[in-house]
Amino acid sequence: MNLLRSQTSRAVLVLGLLSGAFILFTGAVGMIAAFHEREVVDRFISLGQLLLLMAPFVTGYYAASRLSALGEGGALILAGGAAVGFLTALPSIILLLFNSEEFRFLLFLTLRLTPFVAATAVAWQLRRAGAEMQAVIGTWLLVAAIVGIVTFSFALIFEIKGDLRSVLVNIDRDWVEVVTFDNRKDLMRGIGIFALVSIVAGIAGAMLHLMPAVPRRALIYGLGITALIGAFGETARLILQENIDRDALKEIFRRDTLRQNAALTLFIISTVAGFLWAMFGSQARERFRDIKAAQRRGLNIVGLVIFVAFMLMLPWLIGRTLSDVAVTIGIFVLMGLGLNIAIGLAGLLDLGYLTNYAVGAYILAVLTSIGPLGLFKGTFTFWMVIPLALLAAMFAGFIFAVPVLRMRGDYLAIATLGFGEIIGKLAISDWLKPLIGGAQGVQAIPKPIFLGTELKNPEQLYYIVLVASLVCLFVSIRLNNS
Amino acid sequence: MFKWKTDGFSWVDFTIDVLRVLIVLGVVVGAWNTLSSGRITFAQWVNLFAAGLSQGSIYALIALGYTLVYGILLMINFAHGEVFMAGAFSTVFLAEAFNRTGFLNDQPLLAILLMIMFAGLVSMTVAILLERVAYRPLRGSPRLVPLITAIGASFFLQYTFRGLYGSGFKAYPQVQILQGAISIGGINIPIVQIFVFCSALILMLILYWLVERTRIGKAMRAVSENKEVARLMGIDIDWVIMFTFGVGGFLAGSAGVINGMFRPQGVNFFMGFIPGIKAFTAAVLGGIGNIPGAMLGGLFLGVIEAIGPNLVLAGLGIPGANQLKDVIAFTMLVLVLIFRPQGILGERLSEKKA
Repeated sequence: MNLLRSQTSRAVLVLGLLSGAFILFTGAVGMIAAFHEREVVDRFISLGQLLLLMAPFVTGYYAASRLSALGEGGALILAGGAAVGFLTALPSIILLLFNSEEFRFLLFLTLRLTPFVAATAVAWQLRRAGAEMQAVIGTWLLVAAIVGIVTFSFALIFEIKGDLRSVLVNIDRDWVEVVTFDNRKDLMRGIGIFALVSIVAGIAGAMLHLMPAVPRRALIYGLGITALIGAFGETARLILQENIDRDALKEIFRRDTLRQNAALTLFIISTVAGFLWAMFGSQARERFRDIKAAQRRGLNIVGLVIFVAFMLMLPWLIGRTLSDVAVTIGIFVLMGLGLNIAIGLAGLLDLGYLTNYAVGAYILAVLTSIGPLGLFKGTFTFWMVIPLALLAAMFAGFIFAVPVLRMRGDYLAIATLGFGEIIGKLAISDWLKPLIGGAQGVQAIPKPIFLGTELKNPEQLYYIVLVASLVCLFVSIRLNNS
Repeated sequence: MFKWKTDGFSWVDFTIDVLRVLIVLGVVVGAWNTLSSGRITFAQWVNLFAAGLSQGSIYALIALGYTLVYGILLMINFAHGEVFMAGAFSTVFLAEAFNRTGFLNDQPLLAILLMIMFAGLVSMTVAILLERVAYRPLRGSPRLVPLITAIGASFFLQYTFRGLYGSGFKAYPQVQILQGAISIGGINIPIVQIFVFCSALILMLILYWLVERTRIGKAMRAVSENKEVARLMGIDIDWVIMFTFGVGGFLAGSAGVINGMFRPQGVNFFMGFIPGIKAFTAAVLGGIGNIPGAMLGGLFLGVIEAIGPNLVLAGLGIPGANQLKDVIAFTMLVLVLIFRPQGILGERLSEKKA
């Protein structure tokens, strides 16, 4: 049959097997089962199931665009979507069949056939490229031997262990439960549902591609926004609970999950908004482009004011848990700004950047701690020590920089990485334990006090980090322009 | 504000000289203290040396992967330690299966050979995929870009294997014929150390033969000499690079099995990081890009690491000296990079070619 040898079938095969490998991989590393614990829409779909659906959906969409680029018609594109969906499920299904006594042999058969198929595929390519028969046979034998040792060994391991889970720890009950859509007891039915769902998702992806542009974009916005908000339901709830009352919140969320009605409403709103944006978005953008420069400057200032006000109000808007996240983000921003000076502006890939972080942190800790390792038992406060810690970290930077100044490029990277490791090992070694506490570190560090209040909540610490980030941002912008 | 270079005097040179004197002084004083105290007998020194040698031969095998890739692409394949882990971690299960059927102790040599093949091929697959997915699209970009990608790939591989096989330690089963020790001139040397050293040596000889005596080896040397000219001579560059990654991966995987036989504490997903950096140190020690250099560098590093803490650090009165074994290795790395970046044997490739 001509279709089987065409580019069309090859595209479908490659895409389908790639997404099948992806689904198998995410299952084997435990992502699917872990994602299953978060529900996106209450009692409807979990994040793990969403992942299972997304792979054939996206691949079906992509396959459809490839096929239409190859000039195929609508019916064949839908068939291609279905095929991609089935291929996506196939590797996982083979692994699932290990759990049934009578079909267990299929996994072994696959493992034992793979070397021959792979060798034949490679040899076939060579033959088509016009290689000599001798070289083709030699390549066939070599590839079959190489792949064979690996797959036969895996077959042997599985056969002797008699259990996938003792090797691949995440191919366990939870995984089977998710992949069969809660039909672990009735495996065959579960596999059927899994295959069917995948095929439908693949066809849906292909259909999405066949739609006209405007409703397609609207649908993508709608699905995307609903899935995003559902997936980050906990975050969304934390933000909303600061701003709306308890009863309304209960209408929207059941614990951390979007309720079905809320999800539907959200989907409709975002689809309509997406539709409007797809229809009129380009006009709005053009109108903004036509605004005069002076007016735009005014708009920019307004935007900046709104941004600053937003940053200042952030802890109230997002609550305690997320403020803690914001503090972490701020610390990373600070470190990133510093690293940007070394890597981005000076071009020195410094992988031992944490040494400076460690020096600063330890100096601060040792000088202010009121615990047994504190040098001054609280004589100095946070604010007094900060300049000292900064200077010490800077000095440490100099010390490490001088000997490595001669190196460039990857040697510098590796040398600084070595420094980082040395400092890390020294910090937790017994040798320096009397000074900095070994693996336990320095404890009992008092919190900073500002205008008589102790800054201990994440909401309050947020401001320290914000101010520090702004100062650093200012300094590094000035440094960049100097 | 800072004037680093004034006439005839440079702060950098001065600091480096001071550093040099301090290090020599530290080593001499520490060694003198230890040796004059006579805390460690001659037989113990020989045992430390032998243990260092076999550990070093494992470093050498991994270091060869760094050196081969660096020789061809001038790139540090930072994820090579994870390639080593991939083979070692996967083969634990094969070793357990062999052990359960009794094959491991009935036919130990054949079983170990099969395990080495399996580990080598798994690592080879990982290395080739790594090259294909992570490095090939970045060929020709600035040199730091693949290095950063490699660090990312290294984390990706670590956590992939953690996801696949779990996060616990798994120990290789014991092989009967490798237990015990033989006595040479009154000094007992464990058989497993001799096994490790010999098998590493055989693998290195095979590699040397491959690079020096075969067609593909010739192609590898040609590509490392000059890529463009090699391409003009009809050499398929992509294939040679893939082959190089594959060979490096195979050596790393076999090193994983040998390492598993040698170290009883077992393997886990994080086992590749430290040996990876140490093997890189070994490659730099021998002059990166230089194959005999990597072998010598590995052995040298292993011996220094075994003897250094007892000889120098203990002599300086530092408690828990063996805890600081890794610090010795990394200090060696930094010192070699500062004082002799061209390594023991090599010329400085990075400047010659960059």
